[in-house]
Amino acid sequence: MLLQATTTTAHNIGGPGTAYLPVMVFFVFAVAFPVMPLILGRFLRPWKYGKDKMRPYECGIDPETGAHDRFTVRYYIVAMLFLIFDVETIFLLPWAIIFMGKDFSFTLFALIEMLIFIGILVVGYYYAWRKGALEWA
Amino acid sequence: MSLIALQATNPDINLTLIAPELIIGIAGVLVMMIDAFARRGQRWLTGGLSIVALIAAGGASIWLGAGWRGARSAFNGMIVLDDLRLSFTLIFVVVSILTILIAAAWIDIEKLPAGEFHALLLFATCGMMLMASAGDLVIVFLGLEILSIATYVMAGFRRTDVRSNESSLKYFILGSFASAFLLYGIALIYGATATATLPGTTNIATIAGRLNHSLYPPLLLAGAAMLLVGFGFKIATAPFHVWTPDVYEGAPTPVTAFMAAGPKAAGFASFMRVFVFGFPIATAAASTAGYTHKSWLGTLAIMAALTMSVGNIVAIVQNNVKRMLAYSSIAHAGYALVGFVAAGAATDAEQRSAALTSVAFYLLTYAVMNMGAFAIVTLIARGNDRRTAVEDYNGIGFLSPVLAFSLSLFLLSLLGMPLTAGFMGKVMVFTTAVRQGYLWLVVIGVLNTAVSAYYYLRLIIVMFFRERNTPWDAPRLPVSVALALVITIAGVFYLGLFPGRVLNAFGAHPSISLSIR
Amino acid sequence: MQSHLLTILILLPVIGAGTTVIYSLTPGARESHLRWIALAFTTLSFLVSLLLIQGAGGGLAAFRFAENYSWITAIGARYHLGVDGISLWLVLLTTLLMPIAILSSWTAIAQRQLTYFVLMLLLESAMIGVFVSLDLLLFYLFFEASLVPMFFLIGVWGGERRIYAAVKFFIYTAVGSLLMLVGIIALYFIHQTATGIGTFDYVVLTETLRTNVMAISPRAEFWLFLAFALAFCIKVPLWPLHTWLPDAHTEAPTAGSVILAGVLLKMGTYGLLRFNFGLFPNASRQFAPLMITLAVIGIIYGALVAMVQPDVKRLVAYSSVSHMGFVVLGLFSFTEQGMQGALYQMLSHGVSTGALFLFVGMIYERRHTRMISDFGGLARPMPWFSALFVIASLSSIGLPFLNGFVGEFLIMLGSWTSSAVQHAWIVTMLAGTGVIWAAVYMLWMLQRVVFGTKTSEANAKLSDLNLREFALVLPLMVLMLFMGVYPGPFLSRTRASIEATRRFLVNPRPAGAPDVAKGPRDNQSR
Repeated sequence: MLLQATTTTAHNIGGPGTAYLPVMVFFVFAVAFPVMPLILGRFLRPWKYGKDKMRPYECGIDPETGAHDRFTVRYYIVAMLFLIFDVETIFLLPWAIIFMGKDFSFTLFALIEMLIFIGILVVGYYYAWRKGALEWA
Repeated sequence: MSLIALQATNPDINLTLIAPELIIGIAGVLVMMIDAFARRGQRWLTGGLSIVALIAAGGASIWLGAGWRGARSAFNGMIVLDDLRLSFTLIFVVVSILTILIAAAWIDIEKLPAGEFHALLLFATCGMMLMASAGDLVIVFLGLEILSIATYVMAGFRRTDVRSNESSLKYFILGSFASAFLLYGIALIYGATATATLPGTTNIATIAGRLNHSLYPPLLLAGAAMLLVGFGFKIATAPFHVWTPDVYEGAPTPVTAFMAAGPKAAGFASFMRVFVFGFPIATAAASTAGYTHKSWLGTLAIMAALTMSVGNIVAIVQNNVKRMLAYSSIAHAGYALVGFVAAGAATDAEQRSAALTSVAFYLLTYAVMNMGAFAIVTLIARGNDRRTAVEDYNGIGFLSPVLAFSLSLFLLSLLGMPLTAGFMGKVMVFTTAVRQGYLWLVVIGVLNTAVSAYYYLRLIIVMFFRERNTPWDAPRLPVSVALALVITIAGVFYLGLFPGRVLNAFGAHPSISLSIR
Repeated sequence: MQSHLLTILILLPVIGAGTTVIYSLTPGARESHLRWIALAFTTLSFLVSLLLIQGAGGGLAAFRFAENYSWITAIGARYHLGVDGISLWLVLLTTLLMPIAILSSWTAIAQRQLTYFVLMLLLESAMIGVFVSLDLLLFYLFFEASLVPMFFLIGVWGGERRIYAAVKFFIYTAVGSLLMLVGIIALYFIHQTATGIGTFDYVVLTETLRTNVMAISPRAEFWLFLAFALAFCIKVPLWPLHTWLPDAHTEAPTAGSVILAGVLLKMGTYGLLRFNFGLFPNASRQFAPLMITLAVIGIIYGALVAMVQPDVKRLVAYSSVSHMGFVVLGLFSFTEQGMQGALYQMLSHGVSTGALFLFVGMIYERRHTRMISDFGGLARPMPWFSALFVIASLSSIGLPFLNGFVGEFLIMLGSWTSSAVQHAWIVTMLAGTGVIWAAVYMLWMLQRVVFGTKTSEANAKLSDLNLREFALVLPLMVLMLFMGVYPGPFLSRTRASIEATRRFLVNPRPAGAPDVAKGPRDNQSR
């Protein structure tokens, strides 16, 4: 559905209004999605403030230091590794769909290409592993 | 669906055309793996492999040039092959090899992980090569990011040093800023080149063909301006140069040498490709294309004059050698811009090719003499970049004659004294500029050269004409750095006395505007 | 068959420099041997350069010993060398002064000898290259390259204010020549526009500019003349661009001063004669009144300032300003006598002033002072020194039968009849006073240094010239006398070359074309 919207054929491209319409719609949704629940929640939830309630929630344990403390760099490394593979997964889907084509004539090449891509990521992952990025202690 | 599907079924794949990039990329991954597994003596292993890969990549690009069958493109015009690309690829190879040789001593002193450094360097080189071979704005951006991210890390390679951290962070933030400008420019150009029947394009040659059919000329101009700012940041032209001195001063010296020579040249390669071929000189000056061309050319000429003047004048008051060389590198970007302006103003392919060749030659000469100077600055600075003040060079002339005389040679070459590479580089650039009628720009350049004499000579004076009061223990000259010095000194004289062969090679395959179907 | 004599001449000192370095690297090398190597190579250069004279009969209008190879094909630069009557004697002056300069540093240079002799040898290469290059880019290359060794010579082995002097020397002369580079490039494209071929070749350029009147616009010629002249006038140095000279000459070591005064200054007048006159004859005519005015001011100013100098070396330095003013005056008189005299004066100034600097160096070595007030009564302890010093001074003044007289007499003869400037006789009269002033400051200096009462006990114990010092000045002394009594061999070889240049200065049309009347004085000057 989304794919078809962005790959309109050449004939359908008119002025800026029509061409960028899907983008506009996307923008509206992107803004509305986080803002709407907040506004709705403001009206729906009951208002009851207290000292304990304003305290940051850390799995039920009392916070020991301020929130602006320095975290160990390992969190970031794990986060980055997660991000890389997360984005990779998102990348795999459009790749597969586009290179599927109409007659599946190009799939083998596309598959090899994707394997190389994943291979490079795996090498990087292995490098990070080997260098001790995943060891916590 | 159909547009993308059409390209997907015919991707115009030609792996031989990206052989140098492939070699460097694969070698980078290999070096990374070796670094992960090897234990002792790995410096020579990864360094050696890197140098072999770089030489192979250089050989591959020479081979591409030798088997010449006219300017070509592949991957639907995303990668092009012409002398602009080939000459710059060779410059990158030279720069990276010299960086490895210079860095060897430094890695030893500082006890840094060599493998990581070599892998990053190879990835950066791969990015630079992509920038030079890009026929499409997207590839330009891709190459730029590969290069930049590797360089950000290299700038902060001395993790325990605050100055290095500061340098890395500044470079990262301002570099990202520049990248954002560039990306925004690309997006605007894409939008502006859409016609009634066709979607926009990022292909440089196609952009040139669409200029007069643009539905939104202001958008086009805004996009070009964004690109100008983005590239201006990357090659550190005034008024976008302010980050350079801090970053160059704080970064480890071999990395500074690399940044001043390599990424700057890569920036020039893309910058010239995009503007000279993407927004070329137009026959009708009143058209959109003509207006765009006139705007960027005029802006660039002023930027060139400004860059030369700011770089040289501010360099005079510097008391730190690295900082002085940083400003000198700004000034040299200005001289190279003079040739760029000439290339932009050239009306026929032959003159354009000559101008592009002169810029490539200039950047090669700059790379050689700059790397040489930094090699010596690295040695004298010792561990932790301690001795980089001008006073640290007091009276060392006859105490470490080899270093001091070599440094003097490089400084004189940077100044543009005859018999050295710097002189020939300037002659070539100025010649093409005079040919296009930019006499005023050349006069400014020449006057700036005179200004630059003051600070280049200052270091020579300090080394030779002053007496040293404090004890001096001459640094040991490691084999690798000695080799780098031999290469750079030979290069300075060879390019200064017999530039003919290199010039002919650089100008053998004139770039024509490549248009795709 | 091309002769390689000139290439050999340029390369010999470079090879000498290489030999010196290699020798110093061999085990058991003695620093005191280095000067012998340098002396051997400079003497060899001199002997080789003598070959240039052979076969040179009366006419020397064409370039001989020419070598012409492609150098940088991309921009059409050529390796084109050759000598004619103008450059022949300047090359010989260079090769003659070099061994003398080396010999003069025999004991004076005690430290860092390797670097010193290498720099001296490289300097010789550059200087020879300047005089024999016939490609503008090549010429520029040597012209600028000669700066670097001299910069180091002044800066490392110079006197107290050496840093100031070295920087001033370098920046002054480098700035001047940079605009010449722009001029050279512009000339390249002027030729390209006119003929379709870009070239830096002097012979081709002059040929085109002389035959094709439309090749260069008067406006362009005006600016190009200025760009070239600025570089050369700083080098000469012409008043008011002379301020680097007293500092550089005074602070330089003795050999450096000899080379500076003897050869480096001649590069300026040589450049004016060769390039400004050859390439821009019309603009030369236009600028002649200005140049002559500056030259005359320089003659008088230099002499007057020399008179009040308390330092012998500085006095000789200022006398150079005065003498080089004569050379410029002679050149811009555009008469045969004037230009011949100018060329002769270049040689004779090189010989006399070179000798004077040597003498000053000798007493400096003995007393470590150059102040006139510290000396006096040297004639008694040092009779030979005093006699020869007096002869050199008299030659500098321009006493008949010594070399200085011939040049200055010819110059004034030429300027008197010159049509380049109105009321040429006034100019000549003013310049003539310069000779009188020269007699005043030189004789007064001699009176205070050589004669007079001895002011210090130290002067009484000074030793006279030793054998090396005799050998040093003897060739110059012989030359002074020879050039004073028999200028024929020199002038006969320069005449044709001078005439070939002069023809286009006096008359813008090429030979054979109908004469354009430029005024009655024009014909009179022929």
